[in-house]
Formats: sequence, C-alpha cells, structure tokens
Amino acid sequence: MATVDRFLPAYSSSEDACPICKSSRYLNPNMKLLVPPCFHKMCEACIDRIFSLGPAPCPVCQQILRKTNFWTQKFEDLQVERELQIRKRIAKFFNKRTEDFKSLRLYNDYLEEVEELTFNLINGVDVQETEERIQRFAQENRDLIASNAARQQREERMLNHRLKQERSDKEHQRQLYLQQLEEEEVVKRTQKNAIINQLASSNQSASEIVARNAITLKKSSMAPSAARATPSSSGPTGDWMYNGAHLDDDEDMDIDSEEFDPLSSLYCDVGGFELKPEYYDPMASAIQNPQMATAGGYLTRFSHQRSLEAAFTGLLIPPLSDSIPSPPS
Amino acid sequence: MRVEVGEAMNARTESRYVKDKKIGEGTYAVVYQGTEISTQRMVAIKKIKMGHFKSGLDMSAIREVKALRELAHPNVIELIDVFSHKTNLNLVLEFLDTDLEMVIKDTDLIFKAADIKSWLLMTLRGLHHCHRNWLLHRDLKPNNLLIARDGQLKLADFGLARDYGEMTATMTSQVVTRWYRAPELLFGAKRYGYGIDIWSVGCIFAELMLRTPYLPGDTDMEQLDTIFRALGTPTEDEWPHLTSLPDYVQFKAYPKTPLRTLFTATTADALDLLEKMLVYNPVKRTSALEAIQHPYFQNLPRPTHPARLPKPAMNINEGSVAAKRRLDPG
Repeated sequence: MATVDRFLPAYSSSEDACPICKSSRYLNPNMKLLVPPCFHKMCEACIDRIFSLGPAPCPVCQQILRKTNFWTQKFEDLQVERELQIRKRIAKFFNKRTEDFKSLRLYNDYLEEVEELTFNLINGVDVQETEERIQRFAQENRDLIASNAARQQREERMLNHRLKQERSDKEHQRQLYLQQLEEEEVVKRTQKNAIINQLASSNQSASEIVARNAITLKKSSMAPSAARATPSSSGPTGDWMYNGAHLDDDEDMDIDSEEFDPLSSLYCDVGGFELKPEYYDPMASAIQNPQMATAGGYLTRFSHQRSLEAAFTGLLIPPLSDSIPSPPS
Repeated sequence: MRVEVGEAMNARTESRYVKDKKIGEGTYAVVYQGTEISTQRMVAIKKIKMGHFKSGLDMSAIREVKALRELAHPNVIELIDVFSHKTNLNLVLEFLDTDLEMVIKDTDLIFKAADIKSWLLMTLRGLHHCHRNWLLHRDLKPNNLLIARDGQLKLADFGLARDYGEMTATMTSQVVTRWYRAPELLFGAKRYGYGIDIWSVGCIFAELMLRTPYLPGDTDMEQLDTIFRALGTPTEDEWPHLTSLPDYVQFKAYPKTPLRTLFTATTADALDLLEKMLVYNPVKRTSALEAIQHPYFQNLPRPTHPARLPKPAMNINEGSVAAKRRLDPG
C-alpha cells in the first residue's frame, strides 16, 4: 500500500489523530496515518474499513479514491507533501542526465524548463498546457526515458547491496564484541573461584590473599558486567529503557542489602488466630447493598480480620526479660 | 487547673522548636522550615490556618495527626510533635528535600530500570505499612511521595487518610487526585478497600516509566473515558456487579490493548506487575504485600540503593518550591 523509504522516515507527531475515527497517537502509538491524492489523511484502520471493497469516495471531499493510492506522510506540511508527489511524477519523465547533452548550457536550459513545468503544476498555472507539454516530451523521448530509468534501477540495486554489506559487517563486529565480553566474564569467574579455593585451603591470612588477587582481577578486565550480581540468574537482564545498562559499574548492590527484607517493620505481626472464611455476623446486614460493596472492593473479611487483630494485639507477646516491672508493694 | 497543666505542656513543646523561614503556603496550611533546638535537627513546621473553618479544627489536620500518630516506618513521614500557638495548630514534621514529581519532571535525570524498581519498592513498603494498620492513604501521587536527603522515599500528606474495614462506615468517593483515582471511586463506590491506593501506585509506576502522567483526564467522566481507552472497557465478567455501583454509566466498548504497545521497552515482569495493579475488579487487584513479593523485585537488576538514586540538583535554599507544591489541595 505505501512504500517504505529508508532515508526519510514517516512523519509522526504526538499530536497525531485520525480525523475520521478520532483515534490518537497517545493511546495507539502504532497508528499509521496515510495520505490519499486529495490530501485528506486518515489512519490505516479507517482505510481498510472504507476502501477494502474497492474504490470509494473520500469521507471528507467525496473524491473517488483507491486503497493503493495512499502513501505515508513524510512532511508535517501537506503542501510540501503535495509538491513532493508532483516532483516525483515529473522526475519519472524528465530523467535526462548531464551526459545526454552536448553542453552544460543545454543541460541547464533543460533543468530550467523542468523547473518551470513543476512550478506551474504546483501553483496551478496553465495546468492544461503544462500537461500537454509533459505528454509531448514523454512521447518524443520515450526510448531515452526508458533506458535512463533502467540505468537508475541498476544503480539503486548497487547501493542497496552496499548498504546491506555494511549492515552485516556491523552485526558481525557486535557479535565479536559480545563474545569477547563473555570470555572475560568466564575468566573473572574462574579467578574468583580460585580465590575462594585459596581462602579455603591456604593458611595465609585472608586479607592478604584478597588484596593480592584484587590486583590481578583489576588488570584482567576493565569492563564490569551485570551478570555477577547474582549467580543464579543467567545473562544480563539489565537492558531496560536504557541501552548499555550492563556497562554501568554501580549496578551491584551493597552486600548488606542482599539480605534486606522489604517487609521488616518495627511492628509485631498480630497472630494467634485463624481467620475463617465466614462468620455469623448480624452486623453484616448493615450493608444494604452487598453487591455494590463487593464491586467497590469492600470485603466483609476486612471487618472480621480487623476485629480479630484488635482482640489479639499484644496478647501472645512475651514481655522483654529485663523489663518485667516489679509488683507494686 | 487541668487547663493550666495542658497549657504548660504545650508551651514546653513549642519552646523546643524555632521557626526559621516560610517555605510554602497552601489553602489550608503554611509550612515553615524550622529547627529542633536541642539537636539542631531540621524540621518542617506545618501551621494549620484556622480562620475559615467555622466549627473547630480542620478535618484534614485531624486526619493527618490521627494517621501519623499510628505509623512509624522508614517510608512514612515522621510526625515529631504537635503544639498549638494561640489559635493555630502546628504539626512538626520531618524535613524532606524534594518529591517524586520533581524527580520525574527533571529532564536532566536519566532513570535506570533499577531506579524505578527502588522507588516503587519504597512506595509499596510504606503503603503496606499503612494497609496492615488498616489505614488508607487516599491521595497517592508523585508529589505526595517525598524524598529525603539520603534518598529514602516517604509517603506524606495524610490529610485524606482514614481507617478502613469497619462494617458500619461508608466513606466518600470524592478522594484521590483525579489522574490517580481508581475506577470504582469514579463510579461512586461508598465502600471500598486497599485497592484504591494500589491503583494510584500503578499509575505512578507507569508515570515513572513514561515520564508523563499515564491517565490524564480533565473531568471525572473524561477520566473514565481515558482509563477505558487505555485499558479497555470493563465487562460484568471481569468486574462482577460493576453495574450496581451508584454512579455507573454505560461507556463505549473500547477494546483491550496490550500494555506492551505503549510500554515498548519494559521487561515482562514489570508489565506483569503493572497489569496486576491496574486490574479493574478491586477484589482481584494485587495487594501491597503481594506486589512486594512479585518476581519483579527479585529479578535483576536489583533495586538501586536509595543513596545512589538520581536526585534533582538544588541547594538547600531552594527546598521551598517542593514544599509549596506539596501543599496544593489534593
């Protein structure tokens, strides 16, 4: 339906909204707005809906449109978009090159003429006459146009090939780099294990061994990696929203926070009772509309648990041994 | 005689602190930076305005004192003292530099996955502490999550907090700043549970990843529309008795779109947790305890140590901006 241009990405803004179905970029980041020849853009979903059964009138201006005539918007200003379309059409016919002319002067005159035709079409000056001139030119130069078009295609293919080559080279380099990182990681791990073994078997002082090995460790690798934070998980999981997170060296937490318990609290858990799923509770009839309460997220369990906790708070907690008050005399 | 004893105690409390300078003003309170004389500890003194309350004390001041007297936790702001001066009530609170909204809005800061995990974990820890003491915060949003100099995040502004679970009590649904308000509140539920706070945390979690509010609606109706457009319109199947809620209105049936389409760069475990926080049926929504135990917090990367979290660059004297916005009526 729409051609993808590698060099010029499709125009997209956070304010985009389809004027037909009112869907917006904010809630549908993948929305694609396409432009028809009458320049009343709409989203891909709408196009599918309206034009999948064949040509149909544009919902805005009633001009008959086909699904295949839509293209991706490249510029914010639709005037620019229109000019681009015209220039593309002109370029299809007027594809002569410098080497097709006897002198530079003639080539420049030719360019001048092309520019004049383009200007007329864009600004709607003598459209009828201009179209005729284009047709005449196309007829007269049919062979040259065809051979030039073929040459252009050939050149494009070459370029594509070169780009593909470059991309695969880059990918290859990246693979090599990753492999290197992995190897370093393995080396580091074996060294670490060696320290542990040394610590276990040797009778030298621990700090001495660690200090000696720390120097070799530092030398062997300058790039720390995320995988060492916990041995249980494999591979770097740190890539999230932020590329290269695994190259950051403050990734590993302090040793003491490894044992950090997020649920620790100064407050004692209230225990000693077992919450039953249901109780005989005359108070529950105070809730006039139990369905409404459930829909709101209220559970009668809250009330029961809270009452039980209130009853058991502090009940089964032994006093601190050194703070037993002496009986009043 | 009694009265005199009380007054003497009050005078003693008051004499322990000095007000240094005004750092912010809201509709119902003025905040001063102050010092505890004996320890030279910096404190914030929140002076409740009495003028425009016709009978007695302002409700939110009572709620705040009541709630904070119950709670002591590293992730909940500390209420150090309360005293009155003439006819004004003064709350002496822990002094905190900045808030999460300032952090989110500071475009100079780059968040790593581990940073977001750390802030979320601290929020949930504070919230779990409130919930296990049968207290709902009812106004969670980034600018009520204050951040201490050492990086600890603390729940603050308990002006709307109240206890929950009581069988006989109905509560108002006009709570929580709109963008963070759970759908059951928007439908006018008068009995609800911890789910409303979890919904807010879900919105904050999304905001931390997007760096822009996740569900910004201009009116209550538009808020529901925004929620449904983002998460799909709920059905009776996934939210039983939904239609019996007081202010229920039929909405256009939007399809459910996977969160992945908006949160493109997030890990699967993070999205799973977010999804569990934004479940429509409040009974099925995850609790703070379950959220803390979610694999997201066990998986790598580990949460950043609070001291190493990104912080907006500012000197001590600029604390007033944070304090001022903190006072905006919720």
